[in-house]
Amino acid sequence: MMWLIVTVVAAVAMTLLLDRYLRRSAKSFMRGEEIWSELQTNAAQIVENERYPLGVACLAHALSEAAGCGCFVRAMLMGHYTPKLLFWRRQRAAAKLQHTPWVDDLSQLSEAQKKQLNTLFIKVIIFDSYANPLQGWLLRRLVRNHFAPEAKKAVLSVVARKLVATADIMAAGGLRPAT
Amino acid sequence: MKDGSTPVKIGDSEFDLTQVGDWVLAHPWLALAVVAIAYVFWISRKEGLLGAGLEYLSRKSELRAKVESDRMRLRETFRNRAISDSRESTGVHEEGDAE
Repeated sequence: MMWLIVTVVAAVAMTLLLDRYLRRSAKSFMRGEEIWSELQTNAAQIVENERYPLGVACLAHALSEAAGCGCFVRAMLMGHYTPKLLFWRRQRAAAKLQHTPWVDDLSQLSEAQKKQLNTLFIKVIIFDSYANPLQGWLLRRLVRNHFAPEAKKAVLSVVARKLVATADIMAAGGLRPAT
Repeated sequence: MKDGSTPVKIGDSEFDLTQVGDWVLAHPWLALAVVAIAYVFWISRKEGLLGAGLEYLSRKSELRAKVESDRMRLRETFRNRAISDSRESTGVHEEGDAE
């Protein structure tokens, strides 16, 4: 009789969890649609604008194609969960950037153009977090702490600091080529 | 009632719960089928799990369709941009050669 009770309780618990996941995910996809419209407008502006070099247009196009795959969210989470990335990969990432074709193009951009590209990059990460509900929820929860009140921030400040440092590395990859 | 029985009284009628347990243990697959049928009826409510699942799938497919159509448009834009840029660069190159 015991196994029957355990099975029923487990089934009910799973059902409730699944229900919660499905409802939250549906909401997440709805929010993702809104973000996607903004992202697409931003990307189209960069691709269409002749003032942006072709390399940067190519980067914007590639970001638009890759958005939603989950790799951006996972990269941010990996940056949080594997501290090695923060100390070890920073130099390697900077070294790799030297060989990417669009690094020279990025240095030609004006401040306003850099800001627009940065906005696109941030929107790609946000869209990625909404397109992948579970990982995205975790990421947003961790990042939100960065903007939380001081008392709350003190508790999870280590987490927030790591994530902000990771975001900084990723932003550096997009906007500040290594010299 | 014999020893080890669990009498349950509902209104005037009375039955032995132990017998229900024995029947479940004797026919586990049948019992699971009964639970499954009851479950399907339960989840088929509008606000139930089935509704949530269907909403999840529809939102997901909507998002995918929107993303794919927008990407197609951006691909076209990028292709045009790349072609025009390559023409421009070729033109400059030819002018340089002519000089």
